[in-house]
Amino acid sequence: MKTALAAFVALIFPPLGVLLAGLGRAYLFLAVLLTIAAVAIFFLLYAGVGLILYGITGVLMAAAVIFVRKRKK
Amino acid sequence: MADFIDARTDFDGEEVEGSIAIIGAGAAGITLARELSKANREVILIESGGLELEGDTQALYAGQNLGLPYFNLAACRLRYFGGTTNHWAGYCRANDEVDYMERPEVGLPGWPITHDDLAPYVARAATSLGIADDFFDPAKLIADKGFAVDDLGERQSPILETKVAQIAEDIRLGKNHRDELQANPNVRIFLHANATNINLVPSGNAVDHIAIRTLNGRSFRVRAKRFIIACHAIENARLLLSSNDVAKEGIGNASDHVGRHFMDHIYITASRFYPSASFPKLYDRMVLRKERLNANLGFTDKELQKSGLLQYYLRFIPRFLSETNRSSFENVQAGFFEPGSLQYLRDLAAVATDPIGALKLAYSKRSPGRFVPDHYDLEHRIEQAPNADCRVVLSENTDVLGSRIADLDFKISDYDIDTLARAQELMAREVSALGWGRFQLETIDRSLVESRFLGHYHNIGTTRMASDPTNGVCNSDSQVFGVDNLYMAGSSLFPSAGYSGPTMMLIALSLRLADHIGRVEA
Repeated sequence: MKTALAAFVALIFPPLGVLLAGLGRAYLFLAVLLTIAAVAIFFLLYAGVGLILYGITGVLMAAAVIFVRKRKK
Repeated sequence: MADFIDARTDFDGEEVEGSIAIIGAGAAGITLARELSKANREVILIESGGLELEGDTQALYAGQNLGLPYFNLAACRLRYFGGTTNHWAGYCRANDEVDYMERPEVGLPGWPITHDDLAPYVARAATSLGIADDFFDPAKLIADKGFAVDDLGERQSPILETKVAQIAEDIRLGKNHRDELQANPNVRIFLHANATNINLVPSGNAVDHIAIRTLNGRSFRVRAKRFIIACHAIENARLLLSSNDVAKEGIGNASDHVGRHFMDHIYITASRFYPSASFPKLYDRMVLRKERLNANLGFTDKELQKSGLLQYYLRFIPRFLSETNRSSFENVQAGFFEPGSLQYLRDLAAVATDPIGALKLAYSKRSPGRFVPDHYDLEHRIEQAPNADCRVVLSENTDVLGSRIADLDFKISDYDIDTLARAQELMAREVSALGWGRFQLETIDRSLVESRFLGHYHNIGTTRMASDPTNGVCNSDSQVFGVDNLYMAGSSLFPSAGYSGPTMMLIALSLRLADHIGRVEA
């Protein structure tokens, strides 16, 4: 249940989902980096490209939450 | 190859002389220069702008809208080589026979020439614009694109007629004919040369010369046997009205027609149409556009006369999303490569509330007609009745060249409102009877029309042709009444706007004028 909730939160805001799932600093660093990059691209370069990167980050992190937690079990 | 002459720097004489002087290098001026030079006439072509749009020259078109809020007068026409064809959309269709007829019941004065007089020139104009030979056969045009001819309104109703326009591709006349004119030794083209005054001989029955000024302070005169003014409808009137040193009321203005009867093809968006399965897709605005055709639903000549209507046509605009979501969709799409904002996110959220509609709209832009829209918005388009009070007037203010600025007092007449209201009802009744769908009608009245109307940058009238001087400015040969060697060219000559866009028709009139001058000089 906690895995599903964390994956869902990761879709909406990737760093928080990763934090909730307790995946570790490497994943958190990656999630924060990609999220900042997506937001920066959205506001500074291309709105559409930023959104797509943000979406990809969310999907990647949600997948990581599910995959890593399953393996831990 | 002769170069263009930049009047600001390349010419320091006081006078230039030729056989024929043409003022304005737009659709009419370029057509006339090509035709007359081919016939070995020595042509001087005077253009106010350069080869590209320039702000200081374009600003000479600035004027006030004194009446209803018409377009920005400095933006609805272009003042450089090629003229307003530089932003022309390319819609071409010949006027109907009824467009030339006198119809006092709707305020139409009739043309001093007939449909048949102009038909050969319309065909030549169409050919010069790359329009197909079957220009006059809408059914064939439709069939060629794979649509069922039996779907056409005229096949199912005695009063409906499909008005099919072709969208020409090769429409930037300045760019298209620049090299040809430059290579022709019979043509001398002056750029950045502004005609500021038409100087008549003391008796007033002929032009002596035209005064030219440049924005950097130079000036010279153009002398010729014949002068043709082809500067666009508003500017044509401005030149005649402001050249009042001999004829005090302005040249050709003894009957007070110069500048009056300004017209556009106005339209309003009102009412909705919910289509049934039998509604022919060819009337969907987006479907035929990709085939470079445009089909609108109008009435037959006979029905227009019987019902006392001006030309009216209905355009069906497919809608897949609500008004708010549609504008959000456009913003999201348009802003994809722009840096984002919170408004972009809000627009995205609005679109996300109807993802199916958004997907249909996106797909329909690529493949029009694939999905049936939720409804169609209806654009009602009319020719305006000529109205003496809808007019170009000279301002007390002057531009940087010292010429009085042309303002526009734009008005919509009772004939226009009446046609919009009654034609909508007639069309709704007929289309509903065919089982094509149902209408949700709004009441069209003056307040609705005045708050929503738009035009097409079709500036028509102001120096209209007529069979006698009491009814117009020019005769059937485009010659200004009472001035032997002065001709007008362009849509300012049209006594009525008719159904079609003016560009191809004014090219046809210019070809006719070139032939006339050829005959007179021979």
